[in-house]
Amino acid sequence: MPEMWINMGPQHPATHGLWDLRVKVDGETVLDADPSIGYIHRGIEKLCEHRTYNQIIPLMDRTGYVSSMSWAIMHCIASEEVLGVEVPPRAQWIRVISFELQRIASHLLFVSGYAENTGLLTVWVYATRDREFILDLFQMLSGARMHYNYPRVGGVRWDLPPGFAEQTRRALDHLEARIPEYEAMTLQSKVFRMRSEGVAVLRREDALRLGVTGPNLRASGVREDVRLSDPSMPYDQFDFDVPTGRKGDCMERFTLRLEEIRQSARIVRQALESIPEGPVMARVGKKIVPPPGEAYARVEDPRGEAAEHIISDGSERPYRVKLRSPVFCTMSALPVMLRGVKLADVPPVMESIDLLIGETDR
Amino acid sequence: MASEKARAPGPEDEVLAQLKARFPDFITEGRVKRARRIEATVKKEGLLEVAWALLEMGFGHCSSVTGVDRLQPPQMESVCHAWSYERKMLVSLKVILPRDNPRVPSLVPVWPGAGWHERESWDLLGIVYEGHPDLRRILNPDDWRGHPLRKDCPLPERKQFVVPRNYDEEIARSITRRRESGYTERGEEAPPS
Repeated sequence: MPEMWINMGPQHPATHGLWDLRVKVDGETVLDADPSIGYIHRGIEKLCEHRTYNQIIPLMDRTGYVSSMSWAIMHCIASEEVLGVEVPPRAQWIRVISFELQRIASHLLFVSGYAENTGLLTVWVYATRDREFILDLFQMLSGARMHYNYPRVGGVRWDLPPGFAEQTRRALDHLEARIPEYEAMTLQSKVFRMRSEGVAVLRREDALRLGVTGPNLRASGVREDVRLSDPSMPYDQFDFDVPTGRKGDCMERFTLRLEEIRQSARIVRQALESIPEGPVMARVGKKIVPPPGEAYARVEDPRGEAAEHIISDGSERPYRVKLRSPVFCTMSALPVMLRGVKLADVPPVMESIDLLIGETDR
Repeated sequence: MASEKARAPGPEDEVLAQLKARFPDFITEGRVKRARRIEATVKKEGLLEVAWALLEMGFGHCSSVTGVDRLQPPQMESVCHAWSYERKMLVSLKVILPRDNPRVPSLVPVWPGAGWHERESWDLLGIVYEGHPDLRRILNPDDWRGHPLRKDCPLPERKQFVVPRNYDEEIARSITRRRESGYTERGEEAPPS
């Protein structure tokens, strides 16, 4: 059969966002791929140059709209480094709690999306339903379900609401009982296994070479976690594992994220136990004017290494903001992963790297 | 900051000293900013050699490549951040380029993961990465003109919208005015009223 290029997107029911993946196929087999992005490029980096440091926080919520909290916290960490303030311990702990809850919510959306793409619509509904519990917690914490606008440069907006710890524990109890159910519904399904095991293998060397980070890198067998190797939050206070895979196929990427949900729940429980008393905001004042300088802050986003390079020129607005999106880099490795995959498996493979077009395009 | 001066020499200083000793001509400026952060300014001619040396030293992960447009003095900076999984530290390599014709060697041979970052930097700032295998626009459409993150590309001023007191009347009047002028959205004839 002659080779041909097929556009999967930008309007495609299975692409999880507005982007275009051109695949070169020979019959059913993918030979090459060319991701084309930028369909929802909003110029966030340019907008940041025209906002004050605290005004950027809502923008960051909209950059990575599935993991708003992690992006907003990352911006706050970068700004604090330029500004040179210490965040009070209680605010640090609240950040850890909300960050890990965000990871759980984001991974649950991944579980639902990936299950949907492999045809397990029940898991899709269950995981989306269970994500609601986390969103309810965020609503309790910040008042919003999606764009929280909760962290602030120098701390967080307000303290934990009364009853938050109990509600969180209840939600985690429920979730931890659910994960074996998800595993039973996915890992014991023959269809699921056939469509995941050995599909779209990303070898260790390729993952390292192409700048893949986060769960996708760990699934390929590299034990690397920015939370531990380049800490900007007090993760050394908590006892948790960094799950690492071996094979780097879709199955590993899926099971590894289920395990990460468990580990995040562990961290949240420990943090709720050991949260110190004290203020939740450092003394930074209403108007934030950092001295001229630069900072490069990295955090372990649910999707990998997110980083912000912020440059201050001594005014109340940053001179330049560069956002390093984890999915942006992982997506550039997609052609390597897709080589040899059957065309029908392309949507699950796309989802297996946990796509989020908002942060890819910025 | 005070903590910066109080920091005892660590493995970061060793790496920086090694680099400086190996490339005395290329590295014009270097300092350890804080724990796990090294900054170095490199001459354009030596960038690839320094990058290869860094890869040998274990800096296998290119975290990002980005550009900074400076107006005072007019210059363009291309900054590459490389992270080492083994040593657990980040080196920022800064190259200073002329603003009117910024050209810098591409880092794709050293770190293939830099490919999309350089495409983005070319797209948004117009820095040409020489030797890049596929230097196309990435976020903007292919037929876009100009580089929007440059400082001379202005963002339109935000206009404040003030609700007039007689808001409903104003709206009604503007609709009537539009009807009377014969203008419709699709350029058709005005409907008979």
